[in-house]
Amino acid sequence: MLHFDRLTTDHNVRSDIAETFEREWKSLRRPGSHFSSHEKIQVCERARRTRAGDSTEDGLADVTRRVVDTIAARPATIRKPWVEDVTANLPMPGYVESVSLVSRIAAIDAFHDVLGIARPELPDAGPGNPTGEFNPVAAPSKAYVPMTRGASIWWALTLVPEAYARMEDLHCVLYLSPEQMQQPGSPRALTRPQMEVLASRTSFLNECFY
Amino acid sequence: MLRESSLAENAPLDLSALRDRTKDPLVPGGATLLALVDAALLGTASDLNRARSAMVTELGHDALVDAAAVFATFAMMNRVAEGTGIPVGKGRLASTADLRAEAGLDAIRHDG
Repeated sequence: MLHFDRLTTDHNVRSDIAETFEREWKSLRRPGSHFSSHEKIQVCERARRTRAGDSTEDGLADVTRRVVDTIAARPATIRKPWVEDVTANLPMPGYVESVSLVSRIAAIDAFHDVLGIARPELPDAGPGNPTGEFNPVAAPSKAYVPMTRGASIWWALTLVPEAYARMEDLHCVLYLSPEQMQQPGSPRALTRPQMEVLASRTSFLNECFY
Repeated sequence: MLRESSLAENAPLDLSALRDRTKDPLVPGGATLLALVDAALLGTASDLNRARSAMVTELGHDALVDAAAVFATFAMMNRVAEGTGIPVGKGRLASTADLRAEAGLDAIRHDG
């Protein structure tokens, strides 16, 4: 039943990491706001292929392919006019859901890659139609997408509650919670300066100024 | 955050090592951590194997797992930041100007 048991049993990975990945796989089996479960898994498959340099055609809409390919492989090229262009054909909740899905699968794959563990197979799709759910409180911001509470990285995906909740879950387990980030010291095996040196170099090489 | 955490832990830090890999960041194990990132993003499978082994030798298996987790977080958050266009506020730009200059981070700025 559990896809990620082997992380703890075979690779001595913290159980909370295996558990958050398990929650991620369960979420992929549920329909999202704009995408069905089948489409969410197609987005993740596409993101994996694009990062590997494979742009084979698939069943996704052209605009979705364009969004997935760019976020997966060329995120530092994204500018406001491009987002305005793609969201003329992909509703904003679908765009935000795409950002979340592609970013989350990048994290899970990166974790496995760094540890030299084979990437997990994506789950089988679950039933159901897209929910159409979005947060009506989210408002235009100084960023490219509407969000709650102003333009902040933490609230970036709040237009789509599930897209935000999944990102939050992964962030809190893999890195730190907002409360932990406000405190000195580290609950992890790395010190805070060690974590932040690693994070800063990663962002630098990814050309992410933020 | 990096400079703040370094000050909080009274640890030396050379921010220029973030862009200049001939330098040591002075954080304990920092060069090994940077080598792991470089191997993961720029290197071959052999480079990554070597970097992984060095991590375990110098900092231990649990540190390697947490390093993979931090790296994974920023693989995610860098894409979220770029995809949603989160701006860096004027106040933060002003307060971090010295730090950015030392680390050479303005070279990758594209939010203007």
